[in-house]
Amino acid sequence: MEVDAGGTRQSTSGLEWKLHPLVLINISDHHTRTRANTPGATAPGVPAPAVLGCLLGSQSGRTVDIRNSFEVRYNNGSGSAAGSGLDLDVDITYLLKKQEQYKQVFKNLDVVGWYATGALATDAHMATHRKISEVVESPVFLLLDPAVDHTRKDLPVTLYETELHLAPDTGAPTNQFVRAPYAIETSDAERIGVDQVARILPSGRATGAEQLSAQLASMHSAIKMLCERLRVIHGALGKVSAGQAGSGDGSVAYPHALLRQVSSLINGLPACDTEAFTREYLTEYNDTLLTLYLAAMTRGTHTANEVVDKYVMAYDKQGRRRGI
Amino acid sequence: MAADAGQAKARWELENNIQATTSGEDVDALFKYDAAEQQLAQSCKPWLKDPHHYKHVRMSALALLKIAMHARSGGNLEVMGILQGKVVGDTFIVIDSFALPVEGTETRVNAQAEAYEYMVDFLDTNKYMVDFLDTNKAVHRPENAVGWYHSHPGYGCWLSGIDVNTQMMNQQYQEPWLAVVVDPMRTMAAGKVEIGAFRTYPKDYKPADEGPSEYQTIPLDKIEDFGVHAKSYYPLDITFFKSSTDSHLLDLLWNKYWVATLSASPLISNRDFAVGQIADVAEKLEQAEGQLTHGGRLGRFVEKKKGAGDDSALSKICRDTSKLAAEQIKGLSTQVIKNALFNCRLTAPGAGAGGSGAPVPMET
Repeated sequence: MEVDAGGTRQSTSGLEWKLHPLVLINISDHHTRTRANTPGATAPGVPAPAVLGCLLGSQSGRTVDIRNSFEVRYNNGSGSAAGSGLDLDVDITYLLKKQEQYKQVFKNLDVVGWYATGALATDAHMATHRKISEVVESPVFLLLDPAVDHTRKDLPVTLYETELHLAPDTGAPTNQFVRAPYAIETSDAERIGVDQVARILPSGRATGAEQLSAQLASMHSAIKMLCERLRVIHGALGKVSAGQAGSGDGSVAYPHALLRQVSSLINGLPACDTEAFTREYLTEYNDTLLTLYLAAMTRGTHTANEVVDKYVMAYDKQGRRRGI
Repeated sequence: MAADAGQAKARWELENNIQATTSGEDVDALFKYDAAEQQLAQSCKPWLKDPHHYKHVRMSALALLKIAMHARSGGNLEVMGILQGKVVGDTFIVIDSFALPVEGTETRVNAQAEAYEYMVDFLDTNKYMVDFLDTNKAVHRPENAVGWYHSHPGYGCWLSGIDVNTQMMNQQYQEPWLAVVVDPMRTMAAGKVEIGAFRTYPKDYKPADEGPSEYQTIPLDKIEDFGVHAKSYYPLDITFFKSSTDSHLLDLLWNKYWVATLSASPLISNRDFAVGQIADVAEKLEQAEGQLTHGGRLGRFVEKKKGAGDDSALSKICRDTSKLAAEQIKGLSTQVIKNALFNCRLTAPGAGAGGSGAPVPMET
């Protein structure tokens, strides 16, 4: 069976996959823990044992949210070299038990697929996939490459769906992995959590000023990222216009689609410049100023109260002395 | 021998509060679990000699994320879960956590009924818990339960009377045991995970007076519960760690992630919470007013009673409002920046794609 590991094929199922960072951290943690607890696996050069687990998520319409994951036990059939994983024998009873346990807490999450670590999708993965398909309807397969490669710019994560294809030589129907596009999605609490662990902020109760500067710093880096992206577009546009002006013979194909996208992006600005928005914005602004006013007033009252207290005390003593 | 040296190094790092910024491999050692060593640590029972024995908590990124998300998913309900990990010296190392199928009552209307419910729930779920831990062993999760967490939506990280009882009971029978409290509402407002770790003192132990602990805003209807039990437990400081694979992934994640940071609007998502806070401040002010006018009249008689360490009610309210204002300003600054960034009208047509002009508000 041929497995399309090159990943040029795109899925045609039309499903939209949303991946939550928690899943990534969970798989990475599973990997790290397995490696740390397998004797000899921490030595350099030894491939880390592959790990395997299930993805939990929820589907609404054509969108599938992959929110959580849990690990699954498997028996390495070949019994020796970890990681080569020629025969990943998934413990289905274990899987079902865990699924039931998670169902008790997270009622709206179903098993939508499974994950494994490794560099490339192999036949072994396909065998496992078939096995899991027996309990989960049309699962998705997430492959995470745990190798730390600092030259990488993209997440080392690939999502695969399966498609039925007729083998060209025999005409027998076979399943093939096809890449599915995915987007990163976060909930609010998740975003804050990820922000916190990504930069490992001190856990002590930060003062207001520290919080504000942390917030501004994260805005700054986000905007820097935006700038970088814009600069890339800007550079590309510059090249296009230079190329057009220089050669003129159309040696470089004029990227119509790209330019259309850029133009629609620019036309989108100003992003939200309506009467209603301005009103909302100003209300919010004023609300904040009022809160600030409240804080200032309370502080003022407090100070005044202290002065009065002191005054009363001083006056009191005098009064008493006079009384005596 | 090599493992010993690694452990010693990890220990050294723990004691010196070294963060994940040092080489990643040492942090990964935290994930190693040595059953024999844990047995030894258990059998020493150091907590009997010194009620203050445990001082630090180190929590993995995974556990933090899971707890924060679980607490948030509960909304206004209290949710609860179990921490898995180990102990090293005076430090709890929390590797992972899992949620329990328990939810608190809507609000704490009836503390008595809730206490009962909590107990029953907890004992009921113990079975589930044991079940869960057994199945976990097979997938390289040898860690035992080392504590529990629950959420206090909107009223801060501290232990209530019921929590103190639960924790005290657990510390009697399940040592070493840790209590973690997380506040999802304040997490949203503050932009960082509001989390606290606590251990209770033995029943007959009288802690030395350490002066007032770190100040935090407690809503008026909880103050009594907070004040009564505040001296029966102590906080542990929490630091977080991540494995080398984690940090690698997180770095890459940021490439896709900055959009979420930009598009988040803390002001809107925290509106309800802010309104609640202001209402609370109003109530407190009213109460303080009553006290002050009353106290003013009796001023000369009660003057002596005022301890040096205690703050007046008004100064506490001051801090509450300043905190609230700081949070609001933080939210608004985000909006202002975004408004400047995306809503500025281009004066000169074709002034570029905005790439060069965009960051100006940030540089001031």
